[in-house]
Amino acid sequence: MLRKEIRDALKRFVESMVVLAVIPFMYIGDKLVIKVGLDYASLIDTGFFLTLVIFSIYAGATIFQPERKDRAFEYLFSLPLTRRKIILAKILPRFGLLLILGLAATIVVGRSLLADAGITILVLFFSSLFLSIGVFSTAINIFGVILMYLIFFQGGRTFVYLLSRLGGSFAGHFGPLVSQLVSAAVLLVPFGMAFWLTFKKMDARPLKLQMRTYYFITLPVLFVIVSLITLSFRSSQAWLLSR
Amino acid sequence: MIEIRGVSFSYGKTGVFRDFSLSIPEGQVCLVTGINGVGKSTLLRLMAGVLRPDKGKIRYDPKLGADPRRKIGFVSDALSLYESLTIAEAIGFHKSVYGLSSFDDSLIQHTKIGCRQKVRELSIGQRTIFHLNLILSLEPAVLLVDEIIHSIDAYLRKVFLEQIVQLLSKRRLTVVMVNVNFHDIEHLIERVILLKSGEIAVDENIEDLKSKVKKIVARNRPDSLNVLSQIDYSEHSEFFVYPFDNRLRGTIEGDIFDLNLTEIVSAFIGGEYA
Repeated sequence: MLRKEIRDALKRFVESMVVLAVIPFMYIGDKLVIKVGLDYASLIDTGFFLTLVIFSIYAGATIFQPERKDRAFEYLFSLPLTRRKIILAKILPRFGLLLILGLAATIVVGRSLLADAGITILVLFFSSLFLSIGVFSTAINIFGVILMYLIFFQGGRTFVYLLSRLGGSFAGHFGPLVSQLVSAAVLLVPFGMAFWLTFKKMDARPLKLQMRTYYFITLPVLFVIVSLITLSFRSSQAWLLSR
Repeated sequence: MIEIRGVSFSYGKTGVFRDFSLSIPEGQVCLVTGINGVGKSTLLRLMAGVLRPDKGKIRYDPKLGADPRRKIGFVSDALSLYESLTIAEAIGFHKSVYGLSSFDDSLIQHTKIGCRQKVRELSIGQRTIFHLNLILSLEPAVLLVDEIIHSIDAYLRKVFLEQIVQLLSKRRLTVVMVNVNFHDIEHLIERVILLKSGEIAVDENIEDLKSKVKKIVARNRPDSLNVLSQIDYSEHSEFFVYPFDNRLRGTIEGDIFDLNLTEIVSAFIGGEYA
């Protein structure tokens, strides 16, 4: 199972690397024709960042693609594998490749992209992963990930503001990091729970008939988070502008 | 042994089974039949563990171990497999999941399936044979086969059935088949279960069933007997009756005929559609 998933994750990885492959052509194109004066180092930097973003979304969103495309859920569930084993075999290779790509970017670019944007990359990966079970098309999944990211981003700003009101060490140097972590946790923990509870009970019935638990958890959570962000939007924006 | 106790199952709002119970002892060869949509394939999927009951329990012989799926061979009508894998990859995957050290490919050797061919490139018949070969390689204790073996040609069906007979002679293999082509497996079947509206309408040993279902050719309907279905001709009619009581033989007008399994199942199913 793990070997098959590693092969599948590698396929997604190679597909995502197309962005990096394009960089030399962009540079050459600029030198020959466009002449904007693109800097090769910054192109590489942007390329690696984009590759990380694309792979994190793509790897998560396509976690059940072989089963969907090949209608192989029935076969998968007939195998003597526990749900935990299945999900670990699917997540670990993808997560591992994400880390390898992050480390490769750190070596090539010379600074840690994962340290700069690690939380964002994790939010994108897990958002697309957790959405993949409840959303039936990769395109809609990607749209959902963008929405989740916007909620995470604005949630982070809201939590910075709320933490600043608490005062003390939260408002200091670690304020933005803590607020990002809180925002990610508030968003991803309920989605992760919904994902796991749905997958644990899943069988070969049509997927649409098995999403009650998933929507029962995620929709109210989304409603509460979006409401909180909306209610505190003005005051948090005013606070941020005043700094 | 498979023990189904008080199982309820539905697809959304469409109920299939309600408080359904059935017990299949070790080593028995059963045929599950009934009209389309009655829940035969669903029953097989529940036994295979790919569907989970909304209520109730399905218990397996403790000899099958903690995860009975390791010893259950299931071929569904959907022939679900990873289609993007090649035959060699699919065999490798299957071996690694079941922890098999070797793979007996004797069934696919009878076909023109190549190792580098992708599963999606196989015809339905080839796919069925490939799937059957995968599950037979497990040396299953329980074999669940949906009506898909209709799709394989006569020669390969014969090869497959020979393998089943070999397995049955070697050990106590429990087999549950759905609506398979009856004439070539009639000698294997010990028990017939007919489903009707999600319940068991008939559950008989094959010999008992054959003695209880008869065809009566007569001008008038035999009022003293329960007629499952009838076929009318200009001069006479054929009445398929169940249960037939041998003591009534002398009192019935018309000729009484024995039926084979295909005719028996057709009589029941014909009655459902009438």
